[in-house]
Amino acid sequence: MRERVSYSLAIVWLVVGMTSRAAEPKLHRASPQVAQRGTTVDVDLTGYFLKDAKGLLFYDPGVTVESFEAITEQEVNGKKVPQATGTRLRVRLKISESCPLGPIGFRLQTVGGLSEYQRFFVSPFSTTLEADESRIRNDDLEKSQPVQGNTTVVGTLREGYDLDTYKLTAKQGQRISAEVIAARLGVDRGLPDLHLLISNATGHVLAEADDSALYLQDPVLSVQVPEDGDYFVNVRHSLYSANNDIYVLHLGYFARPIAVYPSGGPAGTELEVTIHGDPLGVQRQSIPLPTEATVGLATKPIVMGEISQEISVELRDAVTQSFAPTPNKLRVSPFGNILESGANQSPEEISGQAAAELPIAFNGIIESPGDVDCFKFKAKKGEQLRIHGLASGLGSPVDLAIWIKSTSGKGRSFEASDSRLNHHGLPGTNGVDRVTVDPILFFTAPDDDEYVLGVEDERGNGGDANVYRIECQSDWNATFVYIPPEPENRFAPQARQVINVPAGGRYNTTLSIVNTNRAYTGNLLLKAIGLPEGVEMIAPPITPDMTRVPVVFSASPNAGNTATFAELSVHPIPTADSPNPESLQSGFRQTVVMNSPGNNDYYLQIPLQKLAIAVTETAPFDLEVEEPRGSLVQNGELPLKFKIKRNEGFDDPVTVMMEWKPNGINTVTPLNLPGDQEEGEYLISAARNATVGTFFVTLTAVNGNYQPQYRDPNARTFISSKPFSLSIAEPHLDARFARAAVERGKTSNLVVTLNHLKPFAGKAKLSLTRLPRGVEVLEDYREITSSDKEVSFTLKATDESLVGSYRGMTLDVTIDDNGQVVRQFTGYGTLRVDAQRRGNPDS
Amino acid sequence: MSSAFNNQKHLSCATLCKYMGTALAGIFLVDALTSPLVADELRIFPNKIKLTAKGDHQTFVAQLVDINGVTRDVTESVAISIADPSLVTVDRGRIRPILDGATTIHFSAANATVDIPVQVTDSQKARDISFERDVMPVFMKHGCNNGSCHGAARGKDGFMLSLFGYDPVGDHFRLTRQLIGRRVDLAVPEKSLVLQKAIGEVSHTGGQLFDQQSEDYQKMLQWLIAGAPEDPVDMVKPIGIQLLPPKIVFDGNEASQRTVVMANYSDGSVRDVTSLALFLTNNEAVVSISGDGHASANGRGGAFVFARFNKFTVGSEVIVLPTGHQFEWPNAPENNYIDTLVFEKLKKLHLAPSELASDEEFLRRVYLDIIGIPPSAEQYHQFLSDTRNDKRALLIDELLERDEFVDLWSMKWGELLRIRAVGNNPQYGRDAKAMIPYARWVRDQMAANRPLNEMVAELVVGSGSNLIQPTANLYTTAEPATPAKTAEDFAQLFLGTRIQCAQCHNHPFDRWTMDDYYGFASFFSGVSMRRGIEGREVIIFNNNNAKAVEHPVDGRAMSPKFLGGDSPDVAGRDPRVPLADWLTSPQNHAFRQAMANILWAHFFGRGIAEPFDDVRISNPPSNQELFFELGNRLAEYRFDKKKIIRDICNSRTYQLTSATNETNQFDDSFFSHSYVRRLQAEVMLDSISFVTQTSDRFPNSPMGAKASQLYGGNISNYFLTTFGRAPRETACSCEVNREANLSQALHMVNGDTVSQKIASCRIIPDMLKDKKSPSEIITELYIRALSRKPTKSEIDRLTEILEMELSDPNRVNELSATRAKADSNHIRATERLKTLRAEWEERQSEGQELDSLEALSAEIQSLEKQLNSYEKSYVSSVPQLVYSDILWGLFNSTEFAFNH
Repeated sequence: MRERVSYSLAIVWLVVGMTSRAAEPKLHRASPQVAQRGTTVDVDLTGYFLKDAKGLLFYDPGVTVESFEAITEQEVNGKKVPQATGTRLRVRLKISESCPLGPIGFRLQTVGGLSEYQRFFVSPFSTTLEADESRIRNDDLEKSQPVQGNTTVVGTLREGYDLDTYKLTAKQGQRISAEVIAARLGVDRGLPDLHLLISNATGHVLAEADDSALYLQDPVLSVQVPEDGDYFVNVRHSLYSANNDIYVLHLGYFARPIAVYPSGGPAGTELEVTIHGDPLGVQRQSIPLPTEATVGLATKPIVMGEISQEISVELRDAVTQSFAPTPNKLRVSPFGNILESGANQSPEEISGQAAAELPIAFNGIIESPGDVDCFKFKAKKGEQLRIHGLASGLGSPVDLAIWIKSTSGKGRSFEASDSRLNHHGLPGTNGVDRVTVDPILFFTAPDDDEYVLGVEDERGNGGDANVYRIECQSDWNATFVYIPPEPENRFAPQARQVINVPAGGRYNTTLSIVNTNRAYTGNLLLKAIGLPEGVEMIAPPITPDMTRVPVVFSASPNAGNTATFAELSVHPIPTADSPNPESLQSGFRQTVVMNSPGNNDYYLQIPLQKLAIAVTETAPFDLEVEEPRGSLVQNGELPLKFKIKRNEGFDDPVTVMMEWKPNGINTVTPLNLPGDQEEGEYLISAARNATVGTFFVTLTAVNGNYQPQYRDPNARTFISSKPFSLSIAEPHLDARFARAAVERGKTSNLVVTLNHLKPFAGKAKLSLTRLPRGVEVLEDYREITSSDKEVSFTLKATDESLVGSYRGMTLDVTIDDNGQVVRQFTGYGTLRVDAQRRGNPDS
Repeated sequence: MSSAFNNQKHLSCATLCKYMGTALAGIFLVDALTSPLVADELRIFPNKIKLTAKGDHQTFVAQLVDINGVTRDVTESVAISIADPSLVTVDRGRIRPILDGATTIHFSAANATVDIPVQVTDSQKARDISFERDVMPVFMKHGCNNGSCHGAARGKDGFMLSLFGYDPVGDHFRLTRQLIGRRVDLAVPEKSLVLQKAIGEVSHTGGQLFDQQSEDYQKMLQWLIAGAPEDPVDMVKPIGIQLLPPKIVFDGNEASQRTVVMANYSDGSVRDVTSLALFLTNNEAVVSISGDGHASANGRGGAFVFARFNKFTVGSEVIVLPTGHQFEWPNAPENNYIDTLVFEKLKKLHLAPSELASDEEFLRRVYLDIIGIPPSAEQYHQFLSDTRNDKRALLIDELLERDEFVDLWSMKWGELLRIRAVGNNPQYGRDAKAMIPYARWVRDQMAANRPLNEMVAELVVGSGSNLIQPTANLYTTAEPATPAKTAEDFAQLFLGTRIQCAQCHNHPFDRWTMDDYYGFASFFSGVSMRRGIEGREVIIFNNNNAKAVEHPVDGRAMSPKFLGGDSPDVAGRDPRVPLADWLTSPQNHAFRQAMANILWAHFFGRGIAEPFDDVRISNPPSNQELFFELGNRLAEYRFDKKKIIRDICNSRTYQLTSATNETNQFDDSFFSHSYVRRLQAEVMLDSISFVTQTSDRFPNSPMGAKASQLYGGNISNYFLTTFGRAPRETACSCEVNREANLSQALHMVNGDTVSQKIASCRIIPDMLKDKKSPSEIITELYIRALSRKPTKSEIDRLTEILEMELSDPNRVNELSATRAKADSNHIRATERLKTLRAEWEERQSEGQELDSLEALSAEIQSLEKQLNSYEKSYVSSVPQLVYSDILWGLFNSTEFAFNH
C-alpha cells in the first residue's frame, strides 16, 4: 500500500513544465479499487491532468460521486511530499446498498474530457488494508496478519518473493474460502498473476490454486477445515515476480460457487439451479430470471427469436447467508431449456427420446473424463442454424467441442471446437479472448431430419463443475462498429477510444465494422443516439467495400461540459431494388485491453457496449482546410492547403494528418507545423488504381507529437477539420513516349504523344521527370492545351551521363483545375544514351 | 598406461561423435568366460559349420583359454582332422565344401580338443550373385559410401551412393541407369568404370582400393557379368551378425587374435562374411584390428573391437594384460552385488581397488552426493564420534530422507527434461507460468519417491493445458516439437541412446536404421499444440488424423514401431499410450539400464557407459555385467531409485578412497577408486552459502531459494554460469559442465560471490565473541569447509601467520586502513570532514566571530568522533579479517571445489 518515494518523485519531475491548459485526463490508477456496498469511500485517482474534475462516468449503476478533492501533498515515509498539479485527486464515492457486486467501470470527466476506462470492485464485505506498512512483514505463519471472517483485504506484493499471510480461525467442518482479484483489477502494464494457498497451523497445505476457470489468472479456493484451529491464507505472485502488484483478497466463510447448473434459462422464469464448487456440498437455489435486458443504452424485453443475454447473478450461501464476493454468469434466453437426462452418452442411448424443437438451449455437465453427451433436435432442410456452445465464456473449465450428425445416418457430420471473435460481435484484439474457446457451429440442415448434437470436452477432462450450455437457434447476422486500435497505441492501448469534442469544435475518429457472420452487402447509414446536447455526428454512408468509416463529431460553441454515453447503430439504406430493407442488429462494441505482460498481448479484455462522449472546453486552436476545387487524379498528387487558427498565446507545434484515407490514397507522414506557423500544405497522392469517386474526408490536427508514449505526460488536444469532399478522378492525359536515343555530348529530340482523357480549361504545364543521371532537358516545361496531340522536349546528354538504356522517364503534368493545382504523372519512357562517336578518320 | 585406460574416445571422430547413436546393451553376446576353468580349453568359432552352396566357405578361429582366462590364438597351430575328408577341405583357416553330407572336424591344441559338426548342402549349386548381399558390402568395406566419399549428400566427383548403403534400390539405379553406359559396361564388364576406378586403372580420387585378384573385385565382376541384376523383392536379408570370439584376453602387447564375422539371414541361413565386414576398434591404444579382422594388443586396458556389416555393428570385448604380470588380488571385502561385479572386472584387468575411504572422506562425499551440501560441524562431530558399525549405512538412510535429496534429484530431472522458461516465445508454451508447476510436479514425484517408470509413463502421455497439466510440458520444452526431434529426445533421455544419425542414413556405429528412426518418430506424429485461453497457455493433444511421418527415401507413411521392438496396434488410440507401456515396462532393458546408469553416473562422476545418454555398440559400458545387473535391480526394486542409491552408496566401490595404488592410478572407467569430481555449479554455490550461512536471491524464485532449487535453466547468476550450470537447452547430458577454467578460478579468487558471502558470514565474529582460541577457530573453519580437521602442520602454519599479523601494530593498522578504504561511510565522513575543516579555516581567516563558527565546530567534532569510532571498530575487526582470509583460502582450495 505504501507509495514508493521514487514513484512520487518521478511524477513531480515529469510534470514540471506542463502547461496549465486543460487536456484530456490520463487516469493511471484508482486506489483502493474496492469498497463495501452501502459505504462511502475515499478513492485516490492518480494520473495527469486530473484537475477540474467534473464527475465520474460510470458504466454500471450503484455508485455516485460525493465530492472531489485535489491532493497537493502526499505523505511518503512520514514526510510530506508535494504533488504536481493535476496528478492526484481524491474522490469520495457512495456505494449504494443495492449496488451490484463485482466490477464497475468508470471514466473520469474533467473539463478536458474523459479519461481511460478503469475498474472499481464492489464487495459484500468490509474492507481492510494489509498491515504491511511497517518493517514487520506478514511473510510467514508467525507474522501472519489476523483477519476476521468475511473480509476484503487490499494488499500489495512488493517484491518478487513477497508473501502475504493472513490468519483466520475456523471450527471443524467450517468452510474457508478465498478469492483473489488482481488480474481483474486491470493494469496498463504487466500482469498481476497471483497464487493462493490455504494451510493449517503446521504449514500443511489444504489447498492451493494458481488460476481458476472462473477468473483466469485470479485464483479462488474453498476448503472445509478438518479441525478447530487457525488457518492461514497465503498470497504470492505465481512466478515470484511481483512488482508492487496490488490485490484484493476476499477472505472468510462464504461460499465461492464455481459453477451454476443449468447456466441459463428462459427469461421471466424461476430457474432452479444447483451450485457447484462448495466443499460442503452442492446447493440448490431458485433464481428469478429477468424478462428484459440492457443492451447498449436501452433496456429491452427479451423476445422470442432474439438472442440470449448474459447476466451476473449474486449467489447467496444458504449456510452463512453471505454473498459470494463476485457474481457468477448466467444466460437469459427467449427460449426454453433442455437438461441432459443422464442416459445420453451416445446417439444410441437417446434414440428413444423425442427430438427437441428449436430454438432451445441444451444444458449438461461433462462429469467424467471422456464423457460424451448427446441431444436430439429437429431441423428443416435449408434451415440455417447457429449452434453456440457456452462454457469457457461463462467461466466453466470445459473446452467444448460439438458435433452434429443426422439420426438417419445420412450425410456428413459437422463439428466445431472454437469460434471467432466476430461471431460474438466482438472486435479483434491482441491476446486471446476466452469466448473464442467456445464453439459456434453454423449449420444448414441438409434435409428435413432429426439430428444428434454431441458435446465433448476437447481435452478429455471432466468434473462435476464442468457445466456447458448449447444454445441452438436460427442464425442471424449483425453489424457492429468499434474504434480500431492504432499501431501507435502500443504504449497507450486505450488512446482515443472516447470522443472528447471541444465546444465549438470538431473531433474525428474512425470506426471499424465487424460482421458477426456474413457481411451486409448494401449501403449502411451510421446513426448515433444519446449524444450530448449541441453535439452532432457526421458520417458518410458505409459502402460494402469499406472496412472503416470516418466519423466527425461537432459541438456547438455553447454546448456545456457534459459527458454521457451514446449508442451507435447502422441502418440499411433503402435502394430502388430494396426499398424496405430489413433492419440489422447493430451497436457499438469496444474492447478495453489491459494487463500486458509484453509482446503487445493483453490478458484482460473488457467488452463495452457504450461509446463515451464528452464536450470539453474550447480548444486552443482550430483547423481549417481549403476544400480542393479540382480532382485528385489517379497517379497524381494534390496539395491540401490548411490553416491552423491559433488562440491568443497558443504557440505549440501542431501535427496535421489524414487519419482515414480512401482506397489507394497515400499521404505524407504527419506534418509538423512549428509554433510560429499557421498555414501549410498537406500533400496527398493517388495510386494508379485509386478508387474513383467523391469521398468524405477530414484532416486532424493535434498539438505536439501524435504518438503517445507510455504514461505520456504531454497534453494533447485532437481537433478535426470540417469534413470535406475529395474527388478522385481518372487522369486528364495519357502520354506515350516514343523511343529515343541521345549521344553523349549531343542533344536529341523526344516526342511524347498525348491522348486526352478528360479535357481541361486553359493550359497545362508539362515537364519531364525521372531522367537518368547526366541527361538534361533544355526546356523547363512545355505548355499545352486540351487540343495538343503531341509535345516534344530536347534532351541533352552531358559527359556525366552513363551509356546504356534507361527506363522510367515520365511526364509531370500540372493543370489548373478550377483554380486548384492538380498534378499528374503519366507515361513511361525509354532512353538510350550512346557513347560519343569518334571523329571520322577520313574527314 | 594413461592412454590405455582412456577408452571410448578413439572412435568418436569429431564430426561424427555427436551423431553417434547407441546400442541397446542386450545385444551383447553372453560372456563365455564367467565361470572359472580348471584346465586350458580350446574354443572353435563358429562352433557349428554349415556350407550351403558351391564356392561357399567358412573361416574359423581357434582360441585357447587358460585357467586364468587368458586367451591365445591357435588358429595357425591347431591340429585338424576331418572325420570324412570327402565332404570338406580345410585350407589356410578356411573350410570349403566338396560333397553334400554331414561330418565332424576334430581340433586339438595343447591338451585340449573339440569336435565341430559340419554340414554341407547344395555343394554343386552356386549361389546367385546379389547386389545387396555381395556388392554393397564391398562399398561399405572400402568406405565408398561413407560421408567423405560418394556417400556425401551430393556424392563425390559426380557419383553418389547412399550413405552407408541406406538406399540399395537407389544405389542400384545410380550405378546402372543414372548415366547409361558410363558406370557399368555390360558388354565388356571388365571395362566398367566402377571396376576400373576401384583398381586404379583410371584416375580415381579415392585411389586404388583393391586389385584384380581380390575377392571383392571378383564379386563385382561376377555381378556385372551376370548383367548387373537388381535383387528380387523377396531377397533374403541379413537379420543380425556375430563377431567371434566374443571375448579376447591378451597377455601382453605382442598377442593377436583372428576374428570371424557370421551373418544370419532371414531364411535361417548363416554365412561367413568376414571378408566383407568392416572392422573397428574403440581404443586403438589398447587394441587395433586390421581390415581382415586381425585384432592386435597394443597396450594395457579394456576395449572393444567391432565388426560392421550391412546395417549391423557388433562388438567383442578385449582385455590386454601386462605381459606376465604377477597380480595378487587384495581380497577386498564385498559389501554387495555391486562390489562383486566391479571387483570381478578389476580382477580380470589386474587392477587392485583402493583402500576404504576414511570416515571424514566418506562423510563429505556422501553429503555432497546425496544432498548437495557439506555436513555441518555438528553433523561432522556426531558422525566421527559414532561408534556403531553400521553408521555409514545409517547415515545414508538418513540423508536419503532429507529434503535436499529431493532438491538435488529434482534439479537433475529438471536438467534431463530441460525445464526452462522462455518468456518471449509464448507460442511454444514455455513461459515460467508453465515451467514452475512443471518443476514443482517433478519435485513432487521426487519427494514421493515415485517409481521412475511410473513417472516417465505419466510424462509420455502428457496432454492438455501446459498450465494445468504439468506433464504436457514434456512436449513444450523442445523447440519446435517435431515428431523426429521428440523421438531423438526420447531415445536419448529414456533409452540412453542417440539415434540422430539415423535421421539421414542408417547409423554407422549402431544398429539404428532409418526405418527404426521414422518408425519411432511416428509415435509422435499426432502430438499437436494449439493456443489456449491466454497467451502463455498451449494445449497439447494427440491428433490421430495428423499426417503420418514419412520415410524420406521412398515417402512411405511409417507406422509406430518401438525402438528395437515391435509395432503396436495403435488404431483409434493415442500411440503414446502403448509407447509409455513399452518404454517403462520392467522388461525394457534399455530403459531400466538407462535409468540405472543415470543414477550411477551421479555418484561416480561417470556412467558405467559414459556419457550416460550415448550408450551404443561402439560405446559400450565399461562393465557390462554391472550395467545389466544395475538395470535388473532397478526393475526388481520397481524403479525405486532410493533403493539403488542405497545399494550404490553402501557398496565398498563407492566408499573407496580417491587415493590410488600402483595398479589403478590411471583407471578412470572401471571404478577401482573414487574419482575426483568438481562440484556441480549449484552444489558448489549452495555449499559456499551453507558454510557461510548466507543465502542467495534469484529472480522468479521464493525467498531463500537455493541454487539447486531453481526451477528453470533460464535462471542463473554469474557464479552458476561460470561454473557450468546446465542452461537446459538440449537433451544432452553434456550440458552440465564440470570442467575447470580460468574464469572460475578468477571468480573464486576475486569475484564478489565468495568475498561477499564471507563478509556477511557470522561464524567468525561469533567464535571471536566466544573467545575461542586460534586453533579452535581454524579447526572449526576446516571442519565446516572441508569436513576434516586441519593437520598439525596446517594449524601450526596458520597460527603462526595469525600471530604474525595480529601482533604487529603496523600490520594491524595496515589492515584496518584496508577496511577503512572499503567502507563508503568512512570515505564519505572523511571527505565531509575535510570540507568542513577547509571551511573553518577559510572563515577563520576571514576573521569571522567564533560564535558564528559554533555550529560548524560542533559538526566537525561530531564527525571526528564518528570517524574515531569507525577506526576503533576497524582495529577490533582485524582478527575477523584475518580469519576471513583463512576461510577464503579454504574456499579457494582444490579440496573444496572437488568431491573426492
